[in-house]
Amino acid sequence: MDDGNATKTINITLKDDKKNGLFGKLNTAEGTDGRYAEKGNVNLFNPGNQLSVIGALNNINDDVLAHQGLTGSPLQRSSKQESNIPVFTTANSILTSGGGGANLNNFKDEKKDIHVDYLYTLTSPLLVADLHRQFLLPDTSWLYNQHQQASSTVNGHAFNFSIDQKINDKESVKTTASLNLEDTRINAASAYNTLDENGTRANDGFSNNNIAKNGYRAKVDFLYRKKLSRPGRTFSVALSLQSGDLTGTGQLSSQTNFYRSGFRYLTDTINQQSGSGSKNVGFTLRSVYTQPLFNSSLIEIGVSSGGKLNNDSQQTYDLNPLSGKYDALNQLLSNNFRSTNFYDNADIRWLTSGYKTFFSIGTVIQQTDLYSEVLDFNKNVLYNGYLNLLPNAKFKYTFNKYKSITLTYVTAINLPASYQLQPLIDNTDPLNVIQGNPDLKPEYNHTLQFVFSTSHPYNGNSLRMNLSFTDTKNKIINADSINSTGIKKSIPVNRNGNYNIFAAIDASCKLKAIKSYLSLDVYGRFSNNIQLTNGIVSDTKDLNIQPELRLTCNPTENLDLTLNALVEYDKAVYSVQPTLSNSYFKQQYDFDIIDELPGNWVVSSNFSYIINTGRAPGFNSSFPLLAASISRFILKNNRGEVRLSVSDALNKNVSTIRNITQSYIEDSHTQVLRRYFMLGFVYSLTRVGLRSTNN
Amino acid sequence: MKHLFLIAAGLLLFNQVYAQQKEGTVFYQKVSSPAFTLNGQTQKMPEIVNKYELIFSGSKSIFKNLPRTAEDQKIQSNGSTLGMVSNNTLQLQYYDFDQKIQVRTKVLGTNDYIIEGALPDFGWVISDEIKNILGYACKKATGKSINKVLTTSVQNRVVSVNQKIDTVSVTAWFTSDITSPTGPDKYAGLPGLILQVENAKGTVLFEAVSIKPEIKEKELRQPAKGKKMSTEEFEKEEKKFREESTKAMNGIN
Repeated sequence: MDDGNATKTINITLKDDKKNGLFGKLNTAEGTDGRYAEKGNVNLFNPGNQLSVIGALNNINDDVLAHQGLTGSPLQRSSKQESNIPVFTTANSILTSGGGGANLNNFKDEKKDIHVDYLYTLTSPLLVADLHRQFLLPDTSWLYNQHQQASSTVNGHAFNFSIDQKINDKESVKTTASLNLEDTRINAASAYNTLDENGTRANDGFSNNNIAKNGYRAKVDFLYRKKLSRPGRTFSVALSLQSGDLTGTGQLSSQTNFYRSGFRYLTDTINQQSGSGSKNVGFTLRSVYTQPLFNSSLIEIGVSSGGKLNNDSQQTYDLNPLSGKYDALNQLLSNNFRSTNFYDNADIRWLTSGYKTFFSIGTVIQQTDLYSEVLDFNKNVLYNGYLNLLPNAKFKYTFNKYKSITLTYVTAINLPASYQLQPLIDNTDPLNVIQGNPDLKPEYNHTLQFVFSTSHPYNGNSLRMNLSFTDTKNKIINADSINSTGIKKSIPVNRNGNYNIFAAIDASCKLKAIKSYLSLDVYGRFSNNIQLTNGIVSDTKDLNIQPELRLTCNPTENLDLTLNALVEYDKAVYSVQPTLSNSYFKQQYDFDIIDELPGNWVVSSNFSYIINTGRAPGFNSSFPLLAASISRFILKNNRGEVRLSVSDALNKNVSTIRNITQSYIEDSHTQVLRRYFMLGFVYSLTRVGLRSTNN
Repeated sequence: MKHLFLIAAGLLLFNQVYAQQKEGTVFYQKVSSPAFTLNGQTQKMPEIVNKYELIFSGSKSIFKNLPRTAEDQKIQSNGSTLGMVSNNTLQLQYYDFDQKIQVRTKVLGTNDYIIEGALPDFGWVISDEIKNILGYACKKATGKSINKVLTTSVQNRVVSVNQKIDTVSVTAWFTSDITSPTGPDKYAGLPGLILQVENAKGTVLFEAVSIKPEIKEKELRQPAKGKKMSTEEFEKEEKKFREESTKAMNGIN
């Protein structure tokens, strides 16, 4: 039954010359300080086909392709050697990125949908940082300082193909294939020292680490679906095959001096070359059958089976003082590790629904068998078998089209990674030595989530609340031990008592009188994390709250104003050293304005004032950020735009990051982009032009 | 003599079974295969099956849509349930042929309404064509139905919604073995129960899939939940709602 006796249709009318068409946009900009930004996309279509081409390259921290959701996850880390390589983020590095690709969709044949795409990406971050770590120990506290310079260049290629075929009214088959290739170069150099709580030097040194690796990951999926003769009965089978290979080489040289009462008593020199390889191959087979039960419920039964073979190897050679070559095999740091994992699951779920309700309940039974062996040397095969029951349930009540409430319960397990099980010692950072634990059990997560959402069809008022609680049994944490010379050793172990709570409230309303929208978003997070340091159990309770208030105004058709206030409050309490419990604040106040002036001119300005407090001395900051631009639409139909812009006009940008882990509080200053000007040009490939007729 | 008695008993029984049915419950279904056409290319979407229930007794009848079943709702991917399409809202259509009224329930935004109006006139013209549906001999009747068509269009980045009144031709198949003048949805006014309705192109709008003589008496009553209005009052309300929503879609001003 439709809306009584009315039917709804959506009418999309294209002008005649648009039926075989193209649209797109090209951007180019050059600036001071060697900055540049190029971007372009073109879309072509004709009956049955659609082709899009995209390209970008810039060094202004704008990962265009990632923002469009085009880049996927990088290949798995090849070895634990990487666990001591810095993690590059947009907050701590200056990023040069770009790439290009095309994607094609063919739907000419009603029974076949074909999709092909290729994308090349280049990601090259540069990180220059000064960091300060305060270690938390039951009886004492260490201070670690480091200056680091690191850069990486990653070249990636991704190919995807899929074809969805309708065999007949009841059956269909879908085939998907993907191939990813990646080449990475990383260079990291650092100088460091460690002081005890009296300020006396315990150790100092420098380290240079160079890594090169390349590899591929390939995956093929087949999915067959069939509707059986009785309505509601369906059957499907899915087969997935994957394989991957990643090989790398590395060069590490470091020198660390150890002091006692101000005198150097030991110097540890490391000169190593290493090679690593990580190969994997696996499959998954899944079959699902659904059957209607009573009038409005359904039962779904599935079985799956899978297997994966992983082979991780690392060979490390020390510089041989006699031969002058890297030919002294370091047995402690060389290993050939193989693991074979098998999964067998059975799952069952019952779903039922009415006009306003939906309810489902089910469970998965999973049997996991992990076989791991250390090859070449002492050959002992470790077997770990786990049988887990993973229940789930969901309830949703829909008051009406605009108001609903949902309650969900899910469970999941996280298996330990092969490098966490591998008993190899990793000393690429000589002060942080990591070792694996073959007795690890998987983590088991229980999550309960509540969502309430209500909105009004046209008065702009809305409210959404999201609350979730997750408890992790057997969480894998690092048990640390720090000796008197400041060297930390870590080994992963299972521990209960870790849980976290997440809450989000988003509310908005329209203030018609002042032609504005007001919105309030509050995010909160509370976590309880257990630590093991020098054999003593302690916990860290971390509370983080971020309220944000925003007012968007449209006083006239040509003027857009936005006022934003954001406060972030974080408080961490350590049971091991309550005196180190700390809190920090971040405040950010923004004022943005966009004004369309007569004569096709547009002026815009963004002003922010940022205040960071509560960090270690020397790491607090407060500074203004001002960006502005002036642009003019040119050419017929406003098809072009010329823009002059400045970023950080006051030259005050600073990046201070606080990072809290289970064993230390870290504050860092990183090099960021400061003031630069840019002159850019935008061109629209369609006659529609770049200017919108109303806000 | 004994044979005569048996034959008489048999005839009586026979008559009982085929006596004119005055009440019952009919289940209808509508299968839509939506498709959209862009640039001359037609893209088919997955089929939607909507199920309905009509309870009739004497001069009253009530028609409602049944809740979407879990099967109809789920979206599948790789053989496992990905998510659910939202539930459909309960909508009722009530007829009282003695009082000559039609009562419908409607939802606008967050409010429920009850609209009471006169019986619609389809101008049925009955033909001699006969078709068998569910074991009943059905005659064909053609009539005119008034449909409201809402068109949403976007031009120069401004959204506008327009309502057009369309008169379309419909075909109904009814059986005089069941004397109730009702049928699925709004279709009624024939000397028998309507079992199937088709549009001018021959697409089936509603088709009966089963009938049973039992009824749930409690459900056969005039809808009571919502704000009562006449057809004209509701049309004004609907127009206001449409205008406010379109204004909201186009921005604060």
